[in-house]
Amino acid sequence: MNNALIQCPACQAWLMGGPFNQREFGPCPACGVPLRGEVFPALFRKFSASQSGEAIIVEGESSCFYHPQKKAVLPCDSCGRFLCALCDCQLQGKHFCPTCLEAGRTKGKIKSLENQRTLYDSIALALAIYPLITVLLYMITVITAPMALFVAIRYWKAPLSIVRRTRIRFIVAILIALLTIAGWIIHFSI
Amino acid sequence: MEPASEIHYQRLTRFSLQNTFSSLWLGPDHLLRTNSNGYVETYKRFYFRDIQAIIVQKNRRRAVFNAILAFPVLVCLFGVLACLTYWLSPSEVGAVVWSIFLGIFLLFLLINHLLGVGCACHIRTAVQIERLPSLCRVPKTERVLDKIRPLIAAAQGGEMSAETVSSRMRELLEPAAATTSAQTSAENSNNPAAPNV
Repeated sequence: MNNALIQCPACQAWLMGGPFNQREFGPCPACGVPLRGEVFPALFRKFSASQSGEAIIVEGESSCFYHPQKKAVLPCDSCGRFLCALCDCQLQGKHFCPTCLEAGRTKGKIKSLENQRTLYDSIALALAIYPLITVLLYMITVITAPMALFVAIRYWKAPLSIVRRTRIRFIVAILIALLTIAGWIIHFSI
Repeated sequence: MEPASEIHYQRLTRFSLQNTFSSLWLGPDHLLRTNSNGYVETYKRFYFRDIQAIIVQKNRRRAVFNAILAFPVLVCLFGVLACLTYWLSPSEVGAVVWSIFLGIFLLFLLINHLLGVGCACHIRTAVQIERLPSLCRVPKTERVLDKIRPLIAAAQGGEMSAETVSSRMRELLEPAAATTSAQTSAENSNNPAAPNV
C-alpha cells in the first residue's frame, strides 16, 4: 500500500490532491464520482524498524525464554517468562509473550483481541419463537421448546454481545419455551 | 492472565443490512464495527491512533430505493383510483384497503427520501481499507464524522487543514518523481538508441 496516497474507492485511481479535509464533496479526477476524504496525521507517519533483540555478550546474563541467545529485557506480565525485545508484545501498556497473547485471544481473556462471539441468547429465542410463528412447523416445537430451554439455562452465564446487551432474550426464550412445553403436556394429557 | 475488563461502547449507528447486520460503536480509544448474522457477531476495531483516512463517496442508493418504492406506490394509486372511479370493481372497502397500502409505501418512500443522499464510507489504516456498511447516508455519516474527528485528531496530535494535507502529499511525491526521472535519464544515457522523450 502506498503510504502517502489515497485511492478512489470506486475506480481505484490514486488521488494526488482533491477534496481532503473539506466540508464539500469534489469529483474524483478519474471517474467523476463525488467524494471527500478526512485525512489524519497517521497517513504521513513513518514506520520505525522493529527491534530484533540484543545478543548475549556477557556470560550469566538473563536470556529470553524463547531465544536463549538473546538478552532478556523484561518479563511477561502474565506468565513472568523473560522476554527479548523481539518477543515483547505490548498491548494497552502491558507486556505479553506471544504464547500468552495467543491464549488470551483464543480464550477471550484479553477483551481487545476478541473478534467473535456466539449469541446464545438469540439462538435460544430463535428456537423458542421461529417454529411458533411459522404455523406449519408448530409440531416441531415438541423438540425446539426443550432445546430453547436447555440453551438458555446452559449458556445463561456465557458472555453476551461485546456491545450493550441484557439477558432479556434468555428470559423471553425461557418463558415461551415453558409455555410451549406446558401446552404440549396439556395436549397429551387430554 | 487478568480478567477481561468491561469496555463501555456508545452506539454511533443502528443496524444496516448489507449482507450482514452491521453497526458502528464508539469505544474509549477505538471504533468498533460489528457484523452479525443474528447468531454470531464478529468485531473489528479501528484504533484512533491508526486511522489514516476516512473516505466518503456518494452513490445512487437513495435514487435506487426511491425507484423501487415508486412502483408499488403507483400500483396502489392505480388501485385506489380504479375503486373510486368504478372502473373495475365498484367498492369503497377496496379503496380503503388500497389507500392503506398506498400510505405504507408512501411512508417508506418519504423515510427513504428524508434519510438523505446515499454514500459508501471507507476507513483506511496502514494495513487495510475497510468499508463501514452502516454509514450509508451522507447526513448520518457527517454526524458520525463530526463526533469522531476530534477524537482521532486528539489521539494523533491535532487536525490537519486541507492545505497541510496537499502540501504534505506533494512533498512526499516530489522525491519519488525525482527518483523516477533520474532512473529514466540514466536508462536513456545507457541506451543511446532509445528515443529521447
